Amino acid sequence: MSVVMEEAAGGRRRSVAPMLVGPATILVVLVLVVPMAILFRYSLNQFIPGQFMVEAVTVENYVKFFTDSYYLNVLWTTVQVAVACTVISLTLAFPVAYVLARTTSRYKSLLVILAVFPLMVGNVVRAAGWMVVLGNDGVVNSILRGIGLTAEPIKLLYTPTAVVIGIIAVVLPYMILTLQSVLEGIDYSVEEAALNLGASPSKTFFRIVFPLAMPGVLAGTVLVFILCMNAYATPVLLGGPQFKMMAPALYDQIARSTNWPFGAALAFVLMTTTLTLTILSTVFLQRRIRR
Amino acid sequence: MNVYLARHWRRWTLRAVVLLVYLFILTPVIFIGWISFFSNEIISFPPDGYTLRWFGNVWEQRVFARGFAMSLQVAFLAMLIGVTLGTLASIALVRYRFPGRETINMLLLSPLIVPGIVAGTALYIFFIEIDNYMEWRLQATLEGLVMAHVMLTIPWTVRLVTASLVGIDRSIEDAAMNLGANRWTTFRRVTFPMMRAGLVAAALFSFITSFENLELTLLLVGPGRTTLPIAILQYLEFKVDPTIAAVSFIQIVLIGALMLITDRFVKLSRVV
Amino acid sequence: MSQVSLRNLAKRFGSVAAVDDVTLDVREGELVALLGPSGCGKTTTLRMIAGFIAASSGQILIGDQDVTNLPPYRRNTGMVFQGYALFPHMTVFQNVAFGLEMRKVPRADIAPRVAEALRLVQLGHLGERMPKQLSGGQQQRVALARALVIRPEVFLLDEPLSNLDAKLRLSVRIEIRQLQQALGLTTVFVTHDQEEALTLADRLVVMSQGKVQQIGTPTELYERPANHFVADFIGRSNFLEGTVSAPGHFRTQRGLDVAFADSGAGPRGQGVLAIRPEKATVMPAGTGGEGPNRFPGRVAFVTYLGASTEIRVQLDSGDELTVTRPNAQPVGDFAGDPGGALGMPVVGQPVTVAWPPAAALLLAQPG
Repeated sequence: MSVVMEEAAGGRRRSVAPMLVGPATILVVLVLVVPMAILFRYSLNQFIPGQFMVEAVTVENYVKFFTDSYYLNVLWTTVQVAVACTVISLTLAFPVAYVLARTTSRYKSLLVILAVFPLMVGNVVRAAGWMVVLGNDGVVNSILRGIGLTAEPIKLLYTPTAVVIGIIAVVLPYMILTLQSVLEGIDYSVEEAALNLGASPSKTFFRIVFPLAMPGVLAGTVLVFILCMNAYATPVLLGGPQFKMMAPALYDQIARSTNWPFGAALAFVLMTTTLTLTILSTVFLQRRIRR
Repeated sequence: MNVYLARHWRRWTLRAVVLLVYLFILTPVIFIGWISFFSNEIISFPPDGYTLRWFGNVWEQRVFARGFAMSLQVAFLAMLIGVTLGTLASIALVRYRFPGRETINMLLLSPLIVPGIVAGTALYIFFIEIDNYMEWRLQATLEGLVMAHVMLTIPWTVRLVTASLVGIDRSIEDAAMNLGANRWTTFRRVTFPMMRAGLVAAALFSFITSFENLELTLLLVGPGRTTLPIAILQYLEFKVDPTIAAVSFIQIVLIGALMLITDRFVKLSRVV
Repeated sequence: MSQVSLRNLAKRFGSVAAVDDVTLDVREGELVALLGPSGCGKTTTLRMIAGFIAASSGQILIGDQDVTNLPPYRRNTGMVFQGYALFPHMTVFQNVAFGLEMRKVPRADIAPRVAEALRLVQLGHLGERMPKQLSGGQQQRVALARALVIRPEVFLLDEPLSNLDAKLRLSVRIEIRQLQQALGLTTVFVTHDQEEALTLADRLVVMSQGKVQQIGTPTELYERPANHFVADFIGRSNFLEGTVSAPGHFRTQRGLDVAFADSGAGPRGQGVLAIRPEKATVMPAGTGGEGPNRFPGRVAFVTYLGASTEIRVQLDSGDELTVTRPNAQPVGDFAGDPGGALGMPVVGQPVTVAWPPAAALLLAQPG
């Protein structure tokens, strides 16, 4: 196989391409692929308290996970939160993405940047923001008290609701930007053609715009779902100590319990669950458009 | 019903939804900025008054100053290495056909989909094992953090730079060679300036993702050697007060400024 | 009876009038072409008929119904878009069936009607294909079938041929015309290609800067252009500026005295004479006898075009004139019979240019 295609005359060393991709590839293999392989191997080791870790090939860590109701609960909570956040953010992001894609306003680029900005600011800072908004003496409760709706503060912070709100705010920009780029590629005249043929605006949306935006819906859903499943800062800061999702549980296993084999198993359960649900939802959504 | 009235209604409902969604995603940023100027230490609304005291307080809390310095160093070095290696790789990926090209492309982008907390765990164990076998300490060191963060900066660079390279009309390069420029001059004078927008965007996104990263970094820091987001996280697990709001506000301003400066060179709305 | 009526239709974007006071009646079964340079308002007019753009003022009637305030989906128009706008996620059959579904046509009736429409555009066998799997010409026919199958009261075509290559354009043009006449479709057609408009349309509407310049049959527009713009835009013209010196006499700025057929309708005083290049003749100096409008000059440039030859002549007065001459006889080359009746004129050769007074049209000076 030739290394160079359609290259100008006058020759060039054939080893250029490997030299260019080599360093980056080696680095990624070294810091990601190798450690992941080791992690997987360790998930099959045994953990004996006092002895730390013993070489073995066993699935007992995985068995322990799926038989322990505490961890099953953590996984179930994580999946519930992730599904809720994904569905809500898709619903909220679609109209925004549609407006961004179709507007001819000169504020369009400002709106895009405003969507990117919170994303760049980082999760921790935004979680801090929600803490002061939702806290007992926070903005919401102060307003409610101010207009005399409540005497006692409503507990908002350190509840699952707070986590869902926080995660939605984190993932919304990703969803908006993904959908926008796909909607931007849909020729507006196709919508006009539907209107011309007698379809009302809502029919046009459900029969034309939404099916055509499906690749964006899929990409956005997958991306956002993965982010939700792996959220760390938001559940830790907004969920309170009783509320556990998978990423914080994994951190606890490694950093506090120093149970590497079980922690490694946890990591792979998290990844596999995410992957499986992603594939399932992709297949489901693709079926729906074929219909 | 009159059609223009219906159209009017539809348009305004849509606008209202957009406004509410924007308010929602900007709410935490707005309030944390506001609170950093409150004069009362126990947060309550409305504030008793305003002060700049907390920003001075941030400086006295050495953990934030050190975290800030650490984050800056890590982000800068990771950006430098990631953008350089990522750009070289992108050129090969776009301009050459070689066996395994698709695989390498996917490999270089894969850190974007591997959960940060999982990759961080794997890297933590890997670093400790290296220390065990080779007596080379990487956990909670600058080198270790930079190595880890290169995993963030390479995929962003590959993604943005390949996109900008694909967009370059090759006949422009052919024209340069036809006018007598050799390959290096063609790259330097024609190709490179055309991919500048992609490079600037790659540098910005690399720097920021590294600077604000939490999940991947969580296990790779140690006492006295921590990054700013982790310092903030640890403080927040303990309490929320105007000092932490001030720290957050500094990070917001820094990142906002970076985005504004970059936007002067490259229209950000076109690259994301 | 007119099928489509536009009454003082206008569209203003801010202070700019994209369409300015357009009044037009399209008769039943008639094909009317809106013609003009880009930005003249022709597409805006078409899109107002379809309902995609709200009129700022004026009225649109389709049949007997005032549709000015109806949304696009309540107007029974069938539109063919410039880029076809086929639904990429639906098969050809589903594309064509869409309009019928929206009209709640019973399922049992949809299939035969779609099949019929596809047969009409000779695509009967391609119903299950996706639009992407079709050639440009085939996509174009699907777009036609989709617009026809709903039996629209008005058929709207927005530059439907502009995405086809030159050869295909000619054959599709004829097909569209045949379909339109066979089905008796009232049609409004937008194009910037004057040849397309002249060959297809029963009547043309020439537009410029949002205003209607002239409405008429192809012959009327070509032979009797209403103003400088139409004379320039439809075909080509030589323009001589000057003043009317006496009834039937025109004096150009450079002092040429030209006779023209004066109907008395043209402007008095300042004006422009338009002369079609093929209506003037060039002959070698000193030949051709006597008559009005014979002016000496020299050949400035010659372009051989195969079917005709185009000769630019610099008149001794300083005016310049282009004349086209059909190559009805075999044409000799330079060496053969230079300057002879059948030969190619040679640059620099002294010649006489002549045209009958009836070929010179008096027009108002362009604003």
